[in-house]
Amino acid sequence: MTVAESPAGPATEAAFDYGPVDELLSKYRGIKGSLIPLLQGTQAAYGYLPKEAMVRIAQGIGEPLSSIFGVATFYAQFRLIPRARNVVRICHGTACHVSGAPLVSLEVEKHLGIQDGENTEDMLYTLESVACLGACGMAPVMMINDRTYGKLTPDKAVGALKDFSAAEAGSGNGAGKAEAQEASGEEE
Amino acid sequence: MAPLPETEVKTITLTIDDQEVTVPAGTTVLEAARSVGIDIPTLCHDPRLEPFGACRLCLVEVEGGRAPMPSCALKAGEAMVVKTRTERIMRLRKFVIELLLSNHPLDCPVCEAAGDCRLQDYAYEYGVAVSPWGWTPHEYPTRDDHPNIARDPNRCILCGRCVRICRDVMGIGCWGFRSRGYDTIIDTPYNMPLQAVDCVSCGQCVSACPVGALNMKRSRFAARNWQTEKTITTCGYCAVGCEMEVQTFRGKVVRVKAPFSQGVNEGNLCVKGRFGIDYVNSDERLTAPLVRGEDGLLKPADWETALARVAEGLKKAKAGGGKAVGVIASTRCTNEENYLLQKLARTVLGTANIDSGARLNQAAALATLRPMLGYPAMTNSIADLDKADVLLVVGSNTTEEHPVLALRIVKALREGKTLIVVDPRCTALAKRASIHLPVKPGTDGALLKGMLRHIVDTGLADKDFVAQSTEGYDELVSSLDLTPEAAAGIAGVEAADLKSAAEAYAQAAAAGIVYSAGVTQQAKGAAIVRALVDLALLTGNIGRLGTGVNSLSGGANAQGACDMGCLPDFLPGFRALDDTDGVKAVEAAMGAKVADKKSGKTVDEMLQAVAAGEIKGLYVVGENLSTSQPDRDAVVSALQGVEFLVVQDLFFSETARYADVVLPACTIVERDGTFTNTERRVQRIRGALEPRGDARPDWMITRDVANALGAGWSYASAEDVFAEIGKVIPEYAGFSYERLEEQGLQWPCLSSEDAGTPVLYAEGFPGGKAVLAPVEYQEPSETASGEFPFLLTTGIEREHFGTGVRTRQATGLTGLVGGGRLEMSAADVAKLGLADGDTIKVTSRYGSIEPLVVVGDSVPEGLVFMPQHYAEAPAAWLFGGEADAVTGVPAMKLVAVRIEKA
Ligand code: SF4
Ligand code: SF4
Ligand code: SF4
Ligand code: FES
Ligand code: FES
Repeated sequence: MTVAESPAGPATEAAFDYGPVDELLSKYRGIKGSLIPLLQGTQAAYGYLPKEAMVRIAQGIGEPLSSIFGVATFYAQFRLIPRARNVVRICHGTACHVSGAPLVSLEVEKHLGIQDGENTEDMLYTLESVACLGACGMAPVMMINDRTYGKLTPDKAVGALKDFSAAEAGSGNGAGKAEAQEASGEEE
Repeated sequence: MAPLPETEVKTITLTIDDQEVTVPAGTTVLEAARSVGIDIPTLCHDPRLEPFGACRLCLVEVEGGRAPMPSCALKAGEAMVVKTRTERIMRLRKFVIELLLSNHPLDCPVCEAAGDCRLQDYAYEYGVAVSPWGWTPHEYPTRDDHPNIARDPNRCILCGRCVRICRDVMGIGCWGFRSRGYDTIIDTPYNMPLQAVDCVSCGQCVSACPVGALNMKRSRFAARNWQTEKTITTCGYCAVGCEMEVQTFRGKVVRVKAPFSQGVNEGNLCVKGRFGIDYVNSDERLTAPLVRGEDGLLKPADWETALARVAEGLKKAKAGGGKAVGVIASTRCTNEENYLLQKLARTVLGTANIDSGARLNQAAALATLRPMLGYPAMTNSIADLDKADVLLVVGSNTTEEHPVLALRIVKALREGKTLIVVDPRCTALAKRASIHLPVKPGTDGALLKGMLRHIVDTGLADKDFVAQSTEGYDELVSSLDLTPEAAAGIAGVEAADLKSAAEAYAQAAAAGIVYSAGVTQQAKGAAIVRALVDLALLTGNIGRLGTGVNSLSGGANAQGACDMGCLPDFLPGFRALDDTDGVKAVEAAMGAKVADKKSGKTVDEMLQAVAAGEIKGLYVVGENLSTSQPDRDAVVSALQGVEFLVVQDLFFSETARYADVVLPACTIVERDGTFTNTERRVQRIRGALEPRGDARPDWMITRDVANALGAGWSYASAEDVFAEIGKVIPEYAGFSYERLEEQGLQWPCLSSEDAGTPVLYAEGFPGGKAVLAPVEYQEPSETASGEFPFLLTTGIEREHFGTGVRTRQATGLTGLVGGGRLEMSAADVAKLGLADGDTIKVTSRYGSIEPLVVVGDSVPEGLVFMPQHYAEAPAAWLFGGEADAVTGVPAMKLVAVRIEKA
């Protein structure tokens, strides 16, 4: 099964298809320094690095999972969860934190029905809390894909999300994917 | 005995801060400097780890070198000129500390590490200004998911010591670096709870953390490092004998650390050593003697009353002759205490009925190692294990049973040495072994026969060694009636694996054998040990570094209890009762006559003799018989039935319930003495606290019991007793508390000039030649059958010890593992329609218990496993008391059972 067929996130253990990762493991068996290509291959096969595959790789090359995980998180190219169509990032840098980011997060989590780092069941939204987005002047800040929303209240944030999904519904699959107009800031 | 001839060590002389320093080749500049008291600050350095060179705090200037270099990673070179405190260096160090501090929460007043924090120390020493760099500090959530370990990533300085110690020293790897650059954080993979990533709760990572990012949760807010009193002593659990620093404050133990520079553990500890000591603080401790009154109830009493009662009871029992009393000593007691107990038995009570729980592991050594080699003890040293090119580990789940000793094996593995594991279970070591031979339980003897035969057949035996140093070769060869193929068939392993194991072992330049309870507690344990000794002798793997037959003893002082003669058939120093000269020498040194010169009874025999009415009085010290012994009904009825029972222990154990008098003893931190660890190393234990209430050290109690019986003993301290031991046991003659102050020494140590003996038989065997013994193999008497379709095997788990009298009072341990549980393969669990966590009923021919079932991957189908420690479901009750014909050790490894849902 490919990930495209199981869009709701990491598959359950029983259902997980170890085929691709096992194939890669046997391809690189005994070759030193092959962890990066192994991870790249795995990501290419599954679309991200599923935990099951990571565990398998750790066992396969006889390294602790923590080391594999360390490498996978060191390089920006690797993704540990499949991303949904749209990525919502809420800034938790200090400026945003003190001006209410936690409440914004809470409300957005409620609205989307997921926790930080999770995907909505329909795979439309991924929620991520991130460090400073470099727009502290507009704290608290949230981004939907490449678009920045600032000076948020919990209500405003949810409003922005509603508008976004309405727009997306209207344009088929567009708004989020389109190259953002320069992060234009406030959205009233 | 002379120490091993050291191979010529090359030395190097260099100059550090105008001081000439000579060190062995390979020493780092940092170590060289520290060896002469020059202090260089370090953060990422840990003597237990390979150099990392990351924190740049230990920079020094080397004459002729371009840039400053990290001294922790720099090897000392001949004629090198090093400066450690130039202006430039001081400036650089200050810069490093400033940088770290600028991104560090300055919550020292509530930080657990304050007073014991390198960053704090160095910031002060280097006069660093706390200057914000305009960074946004991280605000990571703190984590609290482990019962003993708390972490605050905000305080982390990314030195990587926790990552490296868990990965490299422990061989596990719970921690890793996550992300990069400014966002780098130390975390478990996927931020999983520690216990979900194979954490063994050793706290090694906490001990490595130079700041307050990893803490011992249980000692939080208990006392600052500078407030505590620190006592170096020896761990009282297993026979590795780790040295530890016990920190006490206001009459309580607050934390335990391990010194880097002392002891076999070199700064390492396992979960029991580090977190297992708070039983000392338990409110359940016995604080006054208890005497059974007219009404049949145990009531607190003063010592006078209690001792008078003990004397009266034992005297009355003894009226039936010396054979009518029995004394049971303990592996948790010191040499001094065990020595006095046997002296009490032999010279005051007049009986040879003296035995201890040490029998479980040591009897096989007595019955085999002693006659075949000379001494009933581990031949080599713990530090030797990573010198072996091939290690053969048989019936030892070392990482659980002897955790810190196992670190040597982990090190050997890291260095690419070959590990062969013989074990029915797929233990942690078996998982990493080059060859795992998953023998069918009870068939080790057949397997070893096959290996011996293969070595003989392929001409791999060391013929010169065999000819010069051994006898009995022909008898051995003619007993090898199993071809490797036949042996492999019986043992249920691949013949090819059996052969390659034999070849690897025989061809190695140095090959060592390690075995423990998995062998000695089998019904035919002695026969297996004999075959192991044959293997070593046949291939000349003895008397050198990295070789030997390394028998791992059980309790902290199991070796010592036997050395001291707490054995029915041997006097102190292993002098047999029928060795007239030996007996005379012991009597002369003890200043008393050994009344009973016929072999006495083992623990089991004593209990049987109670039932038969032959024994009327029992004095049981520190052994919880009702949980540890097989055939529980017989034990309980013996304890109930014996006319007079004295129990001396820390807690009101199961066994104490049946006592007429209960005597409150002291824990390891409330008394002085010595323990002898598995490698024959005699080490000090030291009192750090006053005894609880009216409790007294065991040696004192035994002395007072003897005196109440009119012995007139005048020992004023444990040291007095130790001095007498030195006279009685020649192998202990060279020891004194003064000599043992800094480091323990290994027996034989014949005089005060003798540095002890790390490797036995380096200069030959005491009897001239070693003896190759014929190998017998008999099929195990317990086999799975229709009525009892599963084989059950037992073992030790690292969080507990013995029957848990101490460990189950230690809150630092009880939080870690559930109670009595049985491990079963997923397939069998499914087959029986059970679910993980169900309560089940386990029934053998002999008894029945009700543990929980857990799914585990260490057991194959048809085999189940239970830890031995739990009073609510004691695995011992499933056994019938079959004993090894040679050693008298009750078989506690294998029994056929039926399992159903309770
Ligand atoms: S407690 Fe031991 S096993 Fe657990 S993470 Fe720390 S070092 Fe590793
Ligand atoms: S948690 Fe402690 S030991 Fe681990 S990297 Fe951070 S400071 Fe070093
Ligand atoms: S239980 Fe054994 S290994 Fe653990 S700290 Fe104590 S002596 Fe060392
Ligand atoms: S803290 Fe949120 S944008 Fe900087
Ligand atoms: S201690 Fe040498 S670089 Fe950290």
